Amino acid sequence: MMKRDECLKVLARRRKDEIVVAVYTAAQEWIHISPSEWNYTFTGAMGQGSSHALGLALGRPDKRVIVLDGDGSLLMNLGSLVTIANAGAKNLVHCVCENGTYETNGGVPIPRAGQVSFTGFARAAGYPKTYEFSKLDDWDQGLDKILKEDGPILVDLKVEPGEDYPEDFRRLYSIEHREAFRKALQK
Amino acid sequence: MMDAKKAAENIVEGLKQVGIDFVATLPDLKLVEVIKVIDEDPDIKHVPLCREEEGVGICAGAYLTGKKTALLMQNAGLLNSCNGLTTTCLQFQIPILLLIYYAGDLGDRGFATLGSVTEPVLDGLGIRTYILRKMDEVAETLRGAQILAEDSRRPVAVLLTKSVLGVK
Repeated sequence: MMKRDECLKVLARRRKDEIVVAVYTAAQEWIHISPSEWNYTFTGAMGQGSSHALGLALGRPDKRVIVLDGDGSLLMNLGSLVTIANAGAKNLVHCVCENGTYETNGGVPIPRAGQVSFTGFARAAGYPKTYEFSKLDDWDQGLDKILKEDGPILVDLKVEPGEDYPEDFRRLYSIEHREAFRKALQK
Repeated sequence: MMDAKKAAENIVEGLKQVGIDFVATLPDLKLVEVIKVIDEDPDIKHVPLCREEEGVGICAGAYLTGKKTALLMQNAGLLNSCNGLTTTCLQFQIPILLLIYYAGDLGDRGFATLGSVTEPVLDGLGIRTYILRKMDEVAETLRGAQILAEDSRRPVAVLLTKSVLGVK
């Protein structure tokens, strides 16, 4: 099991100009860990992160799009795995921060917590590559390759809460940041 | 009545005239021809969906990359998409042209309940809605709806009835 913020810091160190779509707790931490005009935190409806990422990936095939999804979120939009595989988004890296709970909603366990294979779902849906990481060193070493190879790729990150970061829903949901993101994409 | 294929071509031509280049779809029996024409058009990126609400997120992401997007579905799909429409499109000011087959419209057997809640739900969401019943109004209505969507940065709904789809 990895501390989520440490796991995100590994990604932040490797990140260049990839678009990162982050949801819920991962988003609250990510905006502090890797501030960037390429951060997308405007998903609103639970479960929709992977769908937003697909729209971005199809609209900008020249850029890599990484989504930091949650396990509860993905269960709410599991069909998106099939939609993404069908669309053949080669530039999409679909990370699932698997903590086994609805953390933002009070920490209640998700159904079959720890007994569901998200990589299995993704492979069955047609993702050509999937990975699972529960150790920071392995994630650190595997990431360079993941950021280069053709997707869609699903990465199951086994995480638990790390340090506390201040919650800032106004920042996550601000129209100004959403507009800055749109403008950054048009540069 | 025009046949379904010609009606579909008429609708897709109307979409292209206003610059729509990205369409997410989930079929209804009455939308089959429209989906075929969209799928075969090289100027439109077509994204088939597993559930309609995915289309809201997908179109939102695509819009922010500069695409002009539409979401084609039945009105049951509209009901499936209400949270996405609210907390994505309305909250973040994202326009999408919603093309909705109006099941349960006047005289339609079997979908009366669905039909009866369709316009009130759109009204409740504050989404402006236009019902297309005449073939010769398709292009103008789609053009006007897309202008409203872009200028208001909100979704605008066009309800497609059997008469404009060339189906019974």
